[in-house]
Order: sequence, then structure tokens, then C-alpha cells
Amino acid sequence: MIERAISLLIISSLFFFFLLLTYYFRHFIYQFLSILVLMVLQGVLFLYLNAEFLAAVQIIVYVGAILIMFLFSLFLFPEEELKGIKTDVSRISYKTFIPIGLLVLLLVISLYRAVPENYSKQEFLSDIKVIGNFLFNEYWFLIYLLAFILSLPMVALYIFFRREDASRNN
Amino acid sequence: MALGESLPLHLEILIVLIKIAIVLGVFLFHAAYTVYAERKILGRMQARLGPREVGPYGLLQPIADLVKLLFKEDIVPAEAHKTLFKIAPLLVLTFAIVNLSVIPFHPSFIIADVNLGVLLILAFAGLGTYGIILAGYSSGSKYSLLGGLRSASQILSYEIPLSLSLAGVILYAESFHLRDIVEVQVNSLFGINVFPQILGFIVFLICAFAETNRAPFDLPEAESELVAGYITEYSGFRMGLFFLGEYISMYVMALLISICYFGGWAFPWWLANALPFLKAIPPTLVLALKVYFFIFLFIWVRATFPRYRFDQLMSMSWKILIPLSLINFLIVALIKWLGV
Amino acid sequence: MVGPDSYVPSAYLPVLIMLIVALLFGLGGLIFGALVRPKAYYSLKLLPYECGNEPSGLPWQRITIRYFPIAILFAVFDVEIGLLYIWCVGFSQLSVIGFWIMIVFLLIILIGFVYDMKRGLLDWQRVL
Repeated sequence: MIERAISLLIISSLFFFFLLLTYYFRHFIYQFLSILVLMVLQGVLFLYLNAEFLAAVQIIVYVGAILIMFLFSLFLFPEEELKGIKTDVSRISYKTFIPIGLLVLLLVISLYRAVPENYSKQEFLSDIKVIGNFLFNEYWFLIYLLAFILSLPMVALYIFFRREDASRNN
Repeated sequence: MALGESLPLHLEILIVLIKIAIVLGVFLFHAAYTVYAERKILGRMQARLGPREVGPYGLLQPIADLVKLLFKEDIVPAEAHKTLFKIAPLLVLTFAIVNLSVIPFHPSFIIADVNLGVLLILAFAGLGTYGIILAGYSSGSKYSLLGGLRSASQILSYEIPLSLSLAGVILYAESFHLRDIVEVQVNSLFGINVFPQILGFIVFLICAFAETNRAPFDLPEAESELVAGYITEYSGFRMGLFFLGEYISMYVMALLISICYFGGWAFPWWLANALPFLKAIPPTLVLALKVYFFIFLFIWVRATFPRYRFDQLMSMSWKILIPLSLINFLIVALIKWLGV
Repeated sequence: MVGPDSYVPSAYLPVLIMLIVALLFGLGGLIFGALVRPKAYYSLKLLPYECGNEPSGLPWQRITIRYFPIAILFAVFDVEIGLLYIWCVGFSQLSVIGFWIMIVFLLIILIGFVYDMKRGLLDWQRVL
């Protein structure tokens, strides 16, 4: 029990720390790195919920996604904006602490209200095979829907690409 | 299995530390001497002698290299993002070494006995490439930036066929644990996974070359175009860390190939039945022999194949490897479904 | 089975220890190197390498990424692989519909993929 409490406390305070860093860094690569650390920490939090598969998939998917974000910002950021900025951290004023304080307050309130009085231990789905059984045998329609949602960007990409192409030719 | 059940926690941690020391020692030694073997084999293949001055047959060359690297000046360019520049090689090395913790070297020797072996390796491989990309970006040199971007695109292209070809293996064993993969494989029809999944094996092998930035896919560090790619600005021990990371990830890939497709520490049953004396060979040695063969293959390919052009590399992954690995996956799924 | 409020992923402790040991190994080498190596810096040495010339222009230039459609496709395939792996592990418990839904899923993704390939999105982009 106490190990879990201590490690969760450490992980969640690290989470908050890197959350702040994403806000304070001015250069996009440091921001992306902070987001990456956030995603890895979220994976570790999933481990503590006994959702190990979700943890691994979280890390694998977001590592790729942040890589894409990095590539596109290299692609889109103009040269001038990158010139002077390095580790530069924006000035911390008392105003920035107001939303953070509100967030922490909300968290404390929700934690306070989260524990129900008649709390019963539920059997939770930790086995990946059970999850697969649920997902594919009972909620198969969602998978069917997801296939269309995932093929949407593929088609949208082509439309975007054509329009860009046509504007170049004109 | 879980810590703290049978033994007290500090004793368990001690055992884990001893295991880590053994594995790390063995692999660092191997990585150092793979550099020597590579130089020697490449030399012989190009009708040269290779290193031969330091010690008998040049055998002390890795030690001389290590001492040299340690005593070299460590230059951080003035333009660079200093923090990122300094942590990038550590990231590469760390995430290469961590992969070793989920690989079984013996039926009963594994550092971390977790269910997610293969997935963790994929996750750590993805995280390790951030070291390369950060090194390229933070150096403040055009060559480095181009090398890092090439590495990024290589990851984007080759992660997918790698995972898809591994999906066939995982489907066959219905487990992410590498030990289960070996056990299911040994009891299967052919004894090794290559035979139903020859397409998957080929795709995996090509992707292993690309993931470890080895020739013919060493575009991020192509010396004829990009000086040294992302390691252009690095010097001294930091450069050594990059190379150490690269060689260890080469070993991880060779281990994965021999475990996933060639039966790991066991011979296929038909070979063991035909030649009974093979059962006397200790399991770790069998695995080591397979791994040495694939390391030799890595070196051999480097000596033989010319480097790919960048657009060829991308289009090969998307137009050839992904369809092939999907076909392989569908074949395995049909075999499993029909219960052959 | 351990309840959800007292579960500790102790099987992953060796991975964490390995991570720390690997990090310490690299750091130890660097620290030892920092003690013994020479430190004679001057401004010319700290310039980025550009074949012996003075570096021209900024190192971080705006770079045209000619393979940007691939970057989007990568995200699609990454999500697909996450689903595929669950399906692989739970294969023996699948019903008929559970088996065929994945094949249909793969086919729909594959149709989009082939469409993009035919339209030349996977080629080297010369337009942008």
C-alpha cells in the first residue's frame, strides 16, 4: 500500500513538473521533449492501474506522434523565430500560477470526492486476452467504425495535396 | 515471480543487480570486440589486413580505442543547444541497454520477467531514436540536422513493417513474452518460425538493418554525403557512447531475429531427432551461435551492398515491405484459423 | 488477485533498475573522462564543422520535408498496430465475427493505402 502511495505521489508530482515545463519553455523542441516525458509518465501511471498493454501502446504511439509534430514544426516554423531562442524560459509571474492553482484545487476536490463510502473492490480487466475478447467479440462495430475513421485522413491527405498542387500550377 | 513474495526486497534487488552486472559485462565486451571483428572482417573482404598493431593480431585494439576515446577532448559547439547535446548520447546508450532486460538468454535466465517483452523493446527502440534526432537537432550544424531528419524519416518508415512482421510471430505464439514465443515455436510443425513466415523474416531482417542505422541503410551517418551525419559535432567519449549504443542495438536485433524466427536456444525438433548429440550443447551457447551468425551477416552486408538513395529507402518500405508484411500476417492468421 | 487500490507493478522493477544502471554507466564514463581529458578550447574549435570554411547562414534552416504524407500515414498505421496486437494475443478466444472484423478492418485500411499509393502520395514529393 505505502509503496504504491509513495510512487504515485512521485510520479504525479513529476507529471505536474513537466506539465509546467511545457508551458514555460519557449523553444519547440524543449516543449516537445516535455510532452514526451509526460506521455512516458502517463504510461507509467497506466502500469500502476495494471494496464500494461495500454502503457506500452501509449508510449509507442505517442513517440511516433511527437516525432511527426517535431518534423512538421521544422517544416512550418520560419527561420527567424528560431534565431535567438535556446533554453530561454519565459518570465514566471504570479499570474501564471492562477490557472495552476485552480487546477490543483480542482484535483484536490475531485480526490476528496472520489472515494465512495461503500467502496467495493471490483474485478478489473488486466488480462490482454480478456480485453481482446471484449473488444472484438462484443464491440466489433466500434472496430468497423474505427476503420473508416482511420481511412479518412488518407483520403483527406489526397484532397489537401491536390489543392496545394493546383495552387502551385496557377 | 512477483518481488517480495518469497525473498525480502533488498535481496531480490541484489540478485537483479548481479544479473544486470553479468549481462552488461558480457554485452559491453561483445560490443567492443564486435568493432574489432568488423574491422578485421571488412579488411579481409577488401583484401586488407585490418588492425594488427596493438597486441597479438591486434586483439588489444578495442582497449586502445577506449583509452583513446576517454582521453580525447570533449567539444561542445558554441552554437549548440548544450543540454540536449549532452544528454543525446546517453539516451541512445540507455535505451539500447534497457532492451536487454526483457530478453531471455536461457529458459530460466531473464532479468525482468514481464509479459510485454516484445512491446517494451518496440517502445524503447522508439525512445532511443530520440537520442539520434536530438543529437542531430541540437548540434547546430547543417549536416547533423540533415542526419537527424533522415533518421526520423527512417524511423517513420521502418517501424511499421517491423511491427507488422512481429505481429505474425506474436499471433503464432499468442503472447508478447519472448520465452513463450520460443516454446510455442519449438513445438510447432516446422520447429522454427521461418518456414511458415519466410516473408515476415525477410521484412524483419531488412527493417533490423534500417532500425540500427547499419549499411545499406546508414543514411543518417552517410560519410560520403553528410560527413558523419548526426555525430559530426561529437568527439571523444560521447561519440563512443553513440557507437556503443549502435552495436548493442545490433545485438538486440540479432537476438530478436534468432529468438523470434530461429527457435532461440533450441534446435528444431527434426534436427535434434536426426542428430541427438546436439541436445548436449548448452542452450545459451546455441543462442549465442545464432546471434554470432546474424552479427556476421550485419558485417557481411556492410561489406557487400551499396548504400540506398534516400527516396529509394522510403519507397521500398512503403511500397514493398508493408504489403509483404501484411500478406505474411494474413497467411499466419489463416493458418491459425484453419488450425493447421 | 490484488485489488486495484494496492497493486504495485513490481515485475517492472528490474527494468527500472536496468534503466538506472545503464544511465549510471554512461554518466560514469563521462565523469571519468571529464577528470582525465584535456580542456583547451578556443573559439575556432567551437565552430560547427563545415569542411574547413566559415559556417554560412543559420544552422537551423527551414527544411522542406518531402515525405510529409508518409508522416500522416504513419500515425494511422501506428494505431492500427495497437489494435492488431490485442487481436493477436486474444486470438484463441475470438468468435467468427471477431476473426473477420479484423480482416475487414485491415482491408479497409489497405484500400485507403492502395488509393494513396495509386495517387502518388507515397512517392518523393517534388511539388512542395
